Amino acid sequence: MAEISQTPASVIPGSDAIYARGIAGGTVTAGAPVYLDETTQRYLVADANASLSTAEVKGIALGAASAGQPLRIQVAGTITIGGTVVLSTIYILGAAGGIAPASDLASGWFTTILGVATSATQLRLCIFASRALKA
Amino acid sequence: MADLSITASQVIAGSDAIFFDGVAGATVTAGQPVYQDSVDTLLKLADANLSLATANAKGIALHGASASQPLRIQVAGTITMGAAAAPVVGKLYKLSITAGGITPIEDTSAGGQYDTNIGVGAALNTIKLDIFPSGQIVPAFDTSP
Repeated sequence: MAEISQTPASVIPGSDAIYARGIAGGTVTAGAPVYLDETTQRYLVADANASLSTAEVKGIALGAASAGQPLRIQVAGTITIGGTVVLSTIYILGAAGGIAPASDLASGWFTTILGVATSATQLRLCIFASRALKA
Repeated sequence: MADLSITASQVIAGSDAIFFDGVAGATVTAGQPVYQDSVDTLLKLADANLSLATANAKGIALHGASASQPLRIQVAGTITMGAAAAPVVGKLYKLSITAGGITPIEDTSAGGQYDTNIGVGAALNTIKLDIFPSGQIVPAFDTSP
């Protein structure tokens, strides 16, 4: 399987969503997993195979933002992810802001679990940045 | 003059900004004035000549959002509108008759729309917000001799 194809306008937090709030450090679109840059304290699009820090996902962006603009992210709960997912499948961080099924984990990726699909359109977030690098 | 030409990525809240957090009821981009729908409480694009309710601007969107996504707006303080918009220092800006637009005061002279102040242009491509929905319809400017 490949990373899911997302429509940002279709990304909607569930009624059980838990949020965090911050400032974007670059262009971010709804549905993108983001990490917190420790130096600037701003949210950037996460990436499983760029570095350990970029794989430390904090949440999923719930809107669009450019650098310096406020950004609300969802850190737990159910989210309509804006694409098609497979029920009961574990999803992980992919390359360059993507969300991929766990079976896509590739050499050189830090394993970061995002959540489990609870329907064809929703994930129940369970974000866990393992810091483990796939050999 | 026409509405300000706003580049969404250049819209930045000032350090003195006061915020309101809500949920978007439609697609909104940074820099657009929004009102809060009294029925569903969602934030939607403000419009000076659609209705009294839509002219009741509450703030300026600080990022992009689609329907049902969270939206933070700025309700007071200084906001950078960007070099593309380039508001004129000292000029009064008002809500436009185009949904989500901001227009200089002279553009309201045709009358017929609700008079809603947005703020005054200031240095470094900013507007000092002074959002005031008067609820009053602007009379047409009399050009007769």
